[in-house]
Amino acid sequence: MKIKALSRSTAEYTRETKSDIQKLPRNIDPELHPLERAREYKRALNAAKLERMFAKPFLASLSGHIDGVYAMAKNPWDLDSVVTGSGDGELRMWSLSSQETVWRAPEAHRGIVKGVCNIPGGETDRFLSVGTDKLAKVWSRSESAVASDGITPETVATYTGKHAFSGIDHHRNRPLFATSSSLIEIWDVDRSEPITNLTWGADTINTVKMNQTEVNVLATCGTDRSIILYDLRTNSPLAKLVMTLSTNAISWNPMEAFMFATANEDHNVYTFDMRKMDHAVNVLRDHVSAVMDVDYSPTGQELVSGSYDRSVRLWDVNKGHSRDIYHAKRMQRVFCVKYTLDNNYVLSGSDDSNLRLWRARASQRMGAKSNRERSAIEYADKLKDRFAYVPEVRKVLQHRNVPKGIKKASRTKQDMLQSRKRKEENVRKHDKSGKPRVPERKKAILGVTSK
Amino acid sequence: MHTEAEGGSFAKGNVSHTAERADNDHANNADDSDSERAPRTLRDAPAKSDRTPAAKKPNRRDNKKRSKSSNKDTDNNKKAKKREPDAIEKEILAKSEKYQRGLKVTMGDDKPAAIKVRSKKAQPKIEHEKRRREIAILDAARSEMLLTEQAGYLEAEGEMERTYKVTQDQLADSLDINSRAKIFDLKLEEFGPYVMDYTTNGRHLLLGGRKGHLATMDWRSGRLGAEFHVRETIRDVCWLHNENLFAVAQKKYAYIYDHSGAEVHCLQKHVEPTALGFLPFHFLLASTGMTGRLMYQDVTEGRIIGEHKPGYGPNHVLKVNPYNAVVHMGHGNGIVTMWSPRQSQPLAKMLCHKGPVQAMAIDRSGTYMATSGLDGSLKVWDIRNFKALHEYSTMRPAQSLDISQRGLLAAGWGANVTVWKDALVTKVDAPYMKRLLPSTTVSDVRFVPYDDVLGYGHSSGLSSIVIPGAGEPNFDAYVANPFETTKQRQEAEVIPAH
Repeated sequence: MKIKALSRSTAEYTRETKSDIQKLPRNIDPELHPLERAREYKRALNAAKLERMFAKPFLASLSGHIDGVYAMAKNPWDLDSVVTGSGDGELRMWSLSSQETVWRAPEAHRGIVKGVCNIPGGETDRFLSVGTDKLAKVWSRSESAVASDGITPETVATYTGKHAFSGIDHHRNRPLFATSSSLIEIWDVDRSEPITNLTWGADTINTVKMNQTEVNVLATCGTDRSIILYDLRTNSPLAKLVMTLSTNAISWNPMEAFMFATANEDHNVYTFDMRKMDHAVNVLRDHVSAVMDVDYSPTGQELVSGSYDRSVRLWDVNKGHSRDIYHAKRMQRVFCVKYTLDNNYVLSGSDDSNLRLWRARASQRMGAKSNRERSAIEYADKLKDRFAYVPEVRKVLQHRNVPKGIKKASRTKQDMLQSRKRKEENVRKHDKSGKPRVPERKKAILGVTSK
Repeated sequence: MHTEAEGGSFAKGNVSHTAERADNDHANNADDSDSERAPRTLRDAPAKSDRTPAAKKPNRRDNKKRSKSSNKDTDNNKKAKKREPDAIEKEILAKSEKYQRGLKVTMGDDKPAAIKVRSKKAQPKIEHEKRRREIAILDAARSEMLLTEQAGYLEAEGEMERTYKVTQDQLADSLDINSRAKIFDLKLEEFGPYVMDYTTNGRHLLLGGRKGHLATMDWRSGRLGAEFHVRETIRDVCWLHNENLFAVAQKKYAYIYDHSGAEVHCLQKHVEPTALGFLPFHFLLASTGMTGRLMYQDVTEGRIIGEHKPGYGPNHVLKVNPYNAVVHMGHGNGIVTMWSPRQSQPLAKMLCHKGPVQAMAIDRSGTYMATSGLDGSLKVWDIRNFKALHEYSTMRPAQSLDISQRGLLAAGWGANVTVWKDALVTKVDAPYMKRLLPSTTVSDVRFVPYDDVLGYGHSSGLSSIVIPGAGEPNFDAYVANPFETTKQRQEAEVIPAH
């Protein structure tokens, strides 16, 4: 007889000393794991519920301004600091970690501060601001330090324009900056007059944004519903795109230099490829009022937008709808938003004179995590990913409590869009010329001209 | 006790199960009807040994091509250039079969054409997902070489040797001291016959004497847990999710006791219970009894989840299918019914015997069920299609049945315990092992999970015998760990095992 019976020695399956880790042999034979699909589903559902339970995006409201916050700039050399400009002409520099004002200029401008931007190179705490008072000013936290609180510090330099400014942006590596008013002016920091004027038939230009990767390209948007791209090397426009409604803000994708996102009056965010602008790359629709500002995350994969409907939305650039909506009871119309450069936070400035700090991922928590915690989070993320299309899980993951106003407006808007679509479809059906359907990505575009 | 009650959906398990089976059946039928067709999967393919490359050539065709072109010869020429898998690859491919989940991924060379979908975006994603799954399946199959333990065996060497003639004494002589200690008889003549249960990791034993004696023990070390007397009839005992709690079917009600023997709950909804079953992933206690009802009670919060009335009179046979958590009940008229807590009608009914059903056992893959009836027959069923497979005979109707993790079938009848090997898949002529304990009546046979041991309760106590090859040699510590520490048990109660 050949005989062998199972006989496990305890020594082989238990740890030798208390400092050892426990031995945990695995066997992935499916027969040892009954009901695994059902159990995994349950775990995914629990993970989804936990995510929503821990979704507390609001971190802090930074108050200090006495008028709405209309301009904001993040500092690429300093994660902690952000500069804001308000409607009463005040400038403030904030420290995000201590959540307080570290520097301020109460009467930086007469009228509204329309734009701020950081100056690269050299002293990294220098920044520029423009206002409706036709002035562009250079400030420095260290050089123009405030003597006593409440007194406006000295400017490092001042430039006088001919029109009220509406926006400003600095060149990535040359001592140039561009301002927008009724025309685009390119300034050399060492000269008091602009070195170049750029126009292509707009009344007023809303904003100007320089490409920080493809450094000689800049994009502007005007009240004549146009988006114009200029090239600094030739001092001439590249292309003009006219949309059905005007664009409020532009943001260049930091990772894909030819991509940019625009915040449109028609409630949508559009992303464009500058090489082929006859259609939008993506249309992001969820806001129920004009989108006032948009900003790319440093990864170029996500977007944040602030709207006149008093909400901030976060988007995956490749998806059509927002992945999250942030709102607060006291938050008014949002005029500027920024994605912080560590990809972890979102800032919003609104009419109610507050700057708000939000988490970029509502249920994420910062701080060091143990290995176990991290692997548990990774596992939960994977589960949610895998079961995201299961109705019960999707319902939990997608549900958001939104203010009544937004909810109602979105319902009305949905009805409106549906009936419009129905009508279009009926017209198309009874039209003998047999026109093809216009894709959604082309609908808002009236025309493109290249030079 | 605040554990996550897992696996909400019974239907899910069932549906996916049947769908998968249906798929396979379909594939098989299709192949039968068209013998010219190339085998689509490894399972459908004939045995590897008789598939010589020469014989293979004319049969193998690219499915993609088949639909398009009628010129078979050119296809064959193209195929002939492909490299043959070597022995190790073949072995892994053969092993990979059991790691298939959901929609089948075809392994090896006989790949069907890619699924075409309309969306251009989705097509590469589907292809990618398929490749990923194939890799995962092959990796799973490869990981088998990491398993450390080999299963036990008892094999006859000469023509005249018979495994069923080996007595436990003879067996003990050739076993190591560790295994030898697993052969023992507990003489408890006063309060028998005994019913018993092992925890899912096989470490703890719960035994209940008909006349009220209850005891728990770590049976390998012989350490007694709780021992007490309830002073009334005990009809069945059952561990809950771990060794901290157990349920007992007593004269009037079912009770839950904790590890120290303190009464935790009296379950008054379970009237005169005779058989208990626990659904470990749903945290449900199922019972049936003299009222003939099937009760499901959530043991985490005490709610009654389901109460069903089969209407066949008093019952005393209830078993849980470990594969899909369906409860099987055997009735006095020979019918076996299958239940899910949220459905008032049975999921299925089977007429199994011409007399009362005496005992039942279900294997862990959820494929086979063994039943014994007072009509004297012992039948093996395929519960995927409700068909009888084989019939075995015992001199007297088997009082209790059990199927081990590796598919050994044990029956307790009269004073005997008989074990068959491979009895589920094929009809075997002779038993694998047997044991007679004179002047006793066997009341309950149970294989120990993850061990080569069979325990059985009888009129004068409890016996434990070694049956080589019964238990799963390689346990998964996240599922059931025979060497579990207190800390691990506590954590498993809060964090669901992976």
